[in-house]
Amino acid sequence: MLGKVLKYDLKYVYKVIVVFYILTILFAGLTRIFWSIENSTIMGVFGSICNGITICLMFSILINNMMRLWSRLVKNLYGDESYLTHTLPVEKGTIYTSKFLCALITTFTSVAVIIISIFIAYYSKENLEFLKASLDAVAMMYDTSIINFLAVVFGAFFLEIVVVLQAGYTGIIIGHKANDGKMIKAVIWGFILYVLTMGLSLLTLYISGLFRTDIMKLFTMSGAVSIDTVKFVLYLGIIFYTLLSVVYFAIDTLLFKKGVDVD
Amino acid sequence: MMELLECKHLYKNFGDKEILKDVTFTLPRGKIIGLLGKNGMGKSTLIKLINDLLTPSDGEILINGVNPSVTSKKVISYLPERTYLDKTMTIDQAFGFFEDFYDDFDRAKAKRLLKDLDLDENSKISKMSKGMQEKLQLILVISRNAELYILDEPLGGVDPATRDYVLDTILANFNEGASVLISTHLISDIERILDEVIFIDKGKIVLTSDTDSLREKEKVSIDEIFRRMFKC
Repeated sequence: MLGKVLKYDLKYVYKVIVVFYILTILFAGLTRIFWSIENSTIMGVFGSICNGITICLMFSILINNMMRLWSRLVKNLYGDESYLTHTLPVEKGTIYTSKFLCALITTFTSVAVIIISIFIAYYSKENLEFLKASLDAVAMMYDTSIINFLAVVFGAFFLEIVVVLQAGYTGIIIGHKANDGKMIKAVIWGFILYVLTMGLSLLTLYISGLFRTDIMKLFTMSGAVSIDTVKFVLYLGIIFYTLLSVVYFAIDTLLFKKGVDVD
Repeated sequence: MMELLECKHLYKNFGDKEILKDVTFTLPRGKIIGLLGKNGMGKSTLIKLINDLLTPSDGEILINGVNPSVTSKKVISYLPERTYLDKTMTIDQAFGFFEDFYDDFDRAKAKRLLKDLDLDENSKISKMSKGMQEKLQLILVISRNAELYILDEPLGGVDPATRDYVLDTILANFNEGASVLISTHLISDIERILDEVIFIDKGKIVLTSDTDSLREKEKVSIDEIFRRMFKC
């Protein structure tokens, strides 16, 4: 049943997001075309306009993805559609798992489309050489390969978005346990949980600073930040966000399994 | 034989407000039962509890001996007051959705009923009028070969001609041997099809009876009994 529920969840999100994907790739292509025409000021101007639109669309992809996922959760589990969702012969845990997997998949593809658009708009042999040289230098500093470095940065960024999404999910579920003012309470709870998440991440970093003087320097602002420190923070971030994601998932599933009260 | 539906000492509160109080009743198999009461007396709350859309504050609901769960949802076909379909779907996609999730959905029956409405399967639900959307929902619900059909206010807000269509569709198409629980306050329209009635008032079950013996005892119609009982 998970596959069937996931199919409809993905359809709902992609129905709109795909338009943004196409537009972003289209404007990335136009940016490339206009900028590739040499000795023309007007084409350069068009190129810059398309470049600006491409960048705006990249942000829109991320924002729309989040909004669409949250709206799906509210409509599907607490709106009119919930009368169908909750009467389907599907476990409540499966319904929530589908929402979570949908968030993972669409966030992953959104980030992938952004990377592809960047590649389309800005790829050239010189740029690639420059990027490779820069990344090589960074990777050497970090004592790792380019692939590993990119994977760590991408992983930390991806997990952070997922955790923000889950804070929203948990806020929605807790907010809808109330008897009235459900939506406003959902927003407030989501915000509180996001702030708590950020606070907890700082606290974790501070606690690790008690055992590592280089980390404590981030708080006291004394001395330069070493490569080792940045590496540690990135790895700590990945572990922290992964654990937090698991905790959010467990809380949401538990709350959801306890039952719902739809209007 | 196990009862189809049993509600035992069921309570539902919203904050301090007690909506259902000690509701206890059973539903037999193969009957059409009217859940009758004025607006705001707890009919929809009771139906939502049976369908796992609300969590009881206390008490127990058993469907074929089990609490509301995946197993119970397989045998209950529920028509809510609201239009619950994804409006971006076409009728054909809505049929596909029901086919995906309900093993007992009879697409051929649904197509046949759709034909009576002169609707095209490729029509978008969002382009249909509210009345048509409600009829489509009724078709979807009644095209399942369920053991229990729960219809919440199927006649609410529809014109008399449509009421006849709704009642005739229910009568002609529900799964033989199944039970139908219909909640309504429009008793005169529905009286002719009911085998049993459950009267609910202020969150309490005040009367359960089979319609024939109740009519015989009171020497008036169910509608008249209802009017007398719930006179403001």
